[in-house]
Amino acid sequence: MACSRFEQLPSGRKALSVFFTAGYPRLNDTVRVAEALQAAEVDMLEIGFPFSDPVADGPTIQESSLAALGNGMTVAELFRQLEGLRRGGVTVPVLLMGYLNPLERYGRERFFADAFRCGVDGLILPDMPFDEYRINFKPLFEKYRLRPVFLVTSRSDDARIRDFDAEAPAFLYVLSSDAVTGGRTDVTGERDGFFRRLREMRLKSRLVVGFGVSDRESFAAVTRHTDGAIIGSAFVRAIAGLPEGETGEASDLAALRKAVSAFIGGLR
Amino acid sequence: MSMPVDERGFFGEFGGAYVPEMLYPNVKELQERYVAILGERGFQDELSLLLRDFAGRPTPLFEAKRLSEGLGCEVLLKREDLLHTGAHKINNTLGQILLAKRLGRRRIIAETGAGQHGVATATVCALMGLSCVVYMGEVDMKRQALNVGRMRLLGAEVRGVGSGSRTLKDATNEAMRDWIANPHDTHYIIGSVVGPHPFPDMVARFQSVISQEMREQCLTRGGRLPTHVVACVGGGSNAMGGFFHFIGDDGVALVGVEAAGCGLASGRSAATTALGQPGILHGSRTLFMQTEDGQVEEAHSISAGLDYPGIGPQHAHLFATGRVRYVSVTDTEALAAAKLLARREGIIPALESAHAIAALQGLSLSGADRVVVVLSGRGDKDMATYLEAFGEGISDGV
Repeated sequence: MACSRFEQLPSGRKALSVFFTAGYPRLNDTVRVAEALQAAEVDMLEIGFPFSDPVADGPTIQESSLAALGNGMTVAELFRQLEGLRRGGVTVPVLLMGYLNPLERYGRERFFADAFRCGVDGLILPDMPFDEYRINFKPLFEKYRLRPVFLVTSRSDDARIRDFDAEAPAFLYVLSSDAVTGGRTDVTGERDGFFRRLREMRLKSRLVVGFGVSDRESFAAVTRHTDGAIIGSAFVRAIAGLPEGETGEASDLAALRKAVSAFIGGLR
Repeated sequence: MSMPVDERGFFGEFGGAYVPEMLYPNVKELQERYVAILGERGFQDELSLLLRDFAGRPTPLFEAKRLSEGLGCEVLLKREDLLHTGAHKINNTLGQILLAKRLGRRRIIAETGAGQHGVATATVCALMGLSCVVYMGEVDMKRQALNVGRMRLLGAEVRGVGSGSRTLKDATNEAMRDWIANPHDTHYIIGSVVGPHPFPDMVARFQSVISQEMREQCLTRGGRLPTHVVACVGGGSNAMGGFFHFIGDDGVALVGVEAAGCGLASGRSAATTALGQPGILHGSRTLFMQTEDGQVEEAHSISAGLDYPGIGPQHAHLFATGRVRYVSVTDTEALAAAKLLARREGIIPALESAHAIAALQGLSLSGADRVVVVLSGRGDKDMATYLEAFGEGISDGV
């Protein structure tokens, strides 16, 4: 495996990854949100490319997706915006996350090629079946040096988790509970038991917990037995009400930076 | 099998199971067990008895003489509208509730558009004593208020869906989210031949009783198969049921009727084969109406049951191979056909089924033809729409 930005992830502390929707709250906010998150010392970024029918997402991400589509966000527009991502000084690992249909409509190989060209490090495609990954997608991940990510739940059996682990994913996206994004995490023994089970499997992949992680308390709780956590809906809510900037197609930059830094500061 | 599905759930290039990991164990369990459970003698006996004594099968094949005269050929109506709850949907919900019981599920969820599938699901849940939640778009709750009341009277909880277009597509999203959140005790009774494998195949099998009876009834009546089978297509379950046992008969023309809404070029339609592109929606690779960027477009039809931007993967395959011919009918044509059937045959059809009747005009039928139309549901639920659409003209002639 080639050296990648994922190797730079911190070893001493738990990784904080943040998800946000491209083109939200305003069309041209994508790269500016990424830069503000990097400035706030977030370890990894997940940029959602919006879909009209996001079945694995709760109301917050659904609404941000529809708002982004309303702002004019498309896959083509996203790649146009991301051309400036690495030039603007974003050095942390960046993944794109979304549903298969917009990706396939754009063109499978074209999507991978553009992601590679823009300096994207990996893709999270929740509705990509594993058998389809092996048949159709794996060669593209390899060709364009992108890393896949696989979701695991407490009901994923060991053999399946080991199959995921063997694919050298950027990390295993560990679901904290049975729910769509934005739900609440119950701090229960059952969940800790699941995390311990994963830990005891001695997997090669990092374990990063997502879905239902929203604040300092839940971040600390879910990372006790894992390597990091992803915050999505709570962050999307935190930047929802930003004032308009000069162009109207972007939010006020000072307000955006302030909101991002205040939210991230509250987590650590 | 007249419509074989491969081990990954594909019909040609369409189908599959595109579900997030949260649903994988549920879908896999169904994939591994449905064929065996449906094949069990005890399951078949229980289902047959319920279809006969509870739902009212077999349904008649009625010779529509005055309609036949007008069209100049023999027109037979497969009277699914006479089934308990008023539509073919009960064929599927009875099958799936027996399956859910065998899987040990105690809670049932469903999506509904016109409310017919919701009512059929609420009905079988009451029959079996299982709890039931039905997701329904807020737009549909308004135009199908009667069915909302029926579901509630039957003990189901109806949850309004206010996201997206607030119709069937969004109700389906919300039901899938519920299943993700409640995977242990819940079975999702999908109402059409859509969704991840094995739902399209399983629902088609449960609905195939329609063509099984049609075949026998046609052979008993004059000893010949139909020349045409005509059925409306929203997601496509009554059509799959009506086509199923005729797919191998090259002499039987199969016609699927989609909703053109305000017209194919109007931007307000649900004619998927005419306007759709291949893609992945609600867990399967199929045809649906979408933008160049791959966003799902909102459908429109006066009929809530046809107001869905996609069709099931079998239909996408039957369209791609040319085995089924798909045509479309506008809101206005469907309304006229509903009135025609009411006046000529004394049958007020569901707006969905009225689309199938309306398509007969365009089929260039002749004297030797024997056409079977699947009359998928009755029109009681649509009376508010009929009253509004016809207004003062409701008494006028056709």
